[in-house]
Amino acid sequence: MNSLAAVADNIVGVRARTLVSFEQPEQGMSTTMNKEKENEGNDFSSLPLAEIRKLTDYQLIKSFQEGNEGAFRFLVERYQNRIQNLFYSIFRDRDYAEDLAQEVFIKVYRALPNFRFESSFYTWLYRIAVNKSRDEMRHRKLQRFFSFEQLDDGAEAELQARLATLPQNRDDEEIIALGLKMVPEPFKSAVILRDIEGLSYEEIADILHCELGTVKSRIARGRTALRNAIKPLLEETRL
Amino acid sequence: MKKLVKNAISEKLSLYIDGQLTEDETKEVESLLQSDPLLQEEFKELLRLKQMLSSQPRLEPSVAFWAKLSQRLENEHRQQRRSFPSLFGSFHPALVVTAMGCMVVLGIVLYSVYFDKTTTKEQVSASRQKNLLPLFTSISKDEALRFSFLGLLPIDQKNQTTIEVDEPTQKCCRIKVSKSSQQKAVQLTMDRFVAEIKPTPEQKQVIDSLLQIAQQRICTSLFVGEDKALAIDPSLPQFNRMVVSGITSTLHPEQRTKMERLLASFQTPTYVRDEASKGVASSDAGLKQFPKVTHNRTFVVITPDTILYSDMQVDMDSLLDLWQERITDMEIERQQLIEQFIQQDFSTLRRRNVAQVSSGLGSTNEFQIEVSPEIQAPATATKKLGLTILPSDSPSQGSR
Repeated sequence: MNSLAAVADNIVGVRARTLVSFEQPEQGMSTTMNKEKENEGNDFSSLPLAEIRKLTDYQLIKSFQEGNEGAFRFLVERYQNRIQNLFYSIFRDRDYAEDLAQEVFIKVYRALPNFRFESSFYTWLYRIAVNKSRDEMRHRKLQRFFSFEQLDDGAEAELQARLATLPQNRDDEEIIALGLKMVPEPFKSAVILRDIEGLSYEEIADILHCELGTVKSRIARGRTALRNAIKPLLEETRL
Repeated sequence: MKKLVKNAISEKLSLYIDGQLTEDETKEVESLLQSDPLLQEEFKELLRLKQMLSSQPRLEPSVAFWAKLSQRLENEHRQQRRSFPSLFGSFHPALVVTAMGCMVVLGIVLYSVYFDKTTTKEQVSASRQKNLLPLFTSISKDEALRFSFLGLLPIDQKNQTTIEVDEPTQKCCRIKVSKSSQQKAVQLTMDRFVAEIKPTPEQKQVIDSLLQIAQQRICTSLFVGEDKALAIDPSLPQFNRMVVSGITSTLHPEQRTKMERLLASFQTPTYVRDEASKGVASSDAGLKQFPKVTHNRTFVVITPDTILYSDMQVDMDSLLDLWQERITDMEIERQQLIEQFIQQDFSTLRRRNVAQVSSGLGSTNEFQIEVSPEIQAPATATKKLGLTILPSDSPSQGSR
């Protein structure tokens, strides 16, 4: 334990720039803001690493806002995989997903000193990520336009082209990836947040900044669009 | 109108699946489902879709995420410090705007003048993103020979901590780090090898070129990182096997016997015993089977927290350029990293990992891990690492 405490000493309090700790962060998100501990002070530098990882988002953010930049690393550790996977669900490119997730955390790092806890940290984080993905999609469309590639009739033509080139025995992952390409925004984000990320309707409404009713209809329409998109693929796979 | 109704029903069905309807609405949907086979089909398809979505494969946590991110943040900090010195605050805003305008113009000019150079620098920084430095930037022929035959390399200059690789079973890599010097191994030198085996000038040439490849490979296969991290390419024993096989294939039978005798006096790893006794027919077979050293390889990364594997891109050329440029800084940094790694308590590493396998603990001065065949296959990035962590005093599975 002593050596862990020593590691923690080195990390919390100074700008952590380390390779240590590739352990998977806890899967459950710390959504509860532990107000009780608010007044206990946020200097965690004497805590062992395992204990620091148990702190709530609220405690870590407070600590960061009080000048303990090392706390940021634990927030990153907690959510990096989720954010990276969100981008992976949308773009299906591991390196690209990692790169985008990094950009999200850079944005978070800049904005965190002014974070007011008006929403929970992770819905705020997801909001930044979803906005980032939309920007990227827009950028990609523009790029396609400016590169004077032959413009097709959107995703359907792309899907047809892929159908012709891909082998017939597709797995579920591939079918979903192809299908999602055909689902337009904002329905795609709603479906991904609900069915892949497993978030609640209320959380999605908070992330997408819209009414609960809108979320309900976006999820339903997104699912219907996806269902229609994958239907021919599933039938073909069955053949 | 019909479409509107259909959309409303689809939405209800979607909410029904998620349990988001009121009691009355639920009953309504259930009765509709009973009476409408088309809706039943839609319901089944939506359920299947939901199941497919929720079982989508997830990426493993990216190993060097934090290392890369912190590097980017630090670069940004540095750039900000450079672009906005604090004394700007005390000037009139108009002055600041003018100054910034000038800086933009200057920036564009500088950018166009130094464009090429900047690109190189960026590549270099990309290769350093993981905060890893190569354990060796140059290595002597003797050391390359010892590594190829004995799988041994000294980590520190005093030769007090050594790293040892072996292949106890086929396609299984054993990596052992121990704080004990291998004085005997030092006796195996190129001079001694030449004196005992007496290779012809042609044979010597082949052996030299094989060792040259080994020298390059060693430099790109071992890295030391911040916070006591060590990254090793687990295909090193396989590589060594190829070197040994290449050298053996150039020798005549009587020379091979001499070589076996020489190596028998050292504790040679399994692959050497296998390869040295094998008679290889074609003399240039050894050279032909050498795969090219690719930039993107899988490494085993050992830190005090965990042991796992990571795909790493090694841009050795850029790194070496940077090394030449800042040789003193880099040497000092590397020495510090090595010191940190060596001085850590290996027993902590052993204790945490070994607990799952065995409670037997021996010397606290070494630790040993074995990498199973799974990793040796051209694994996809998300494939799990098959690692077996053994207490180094436990009976080995190999023929040693």
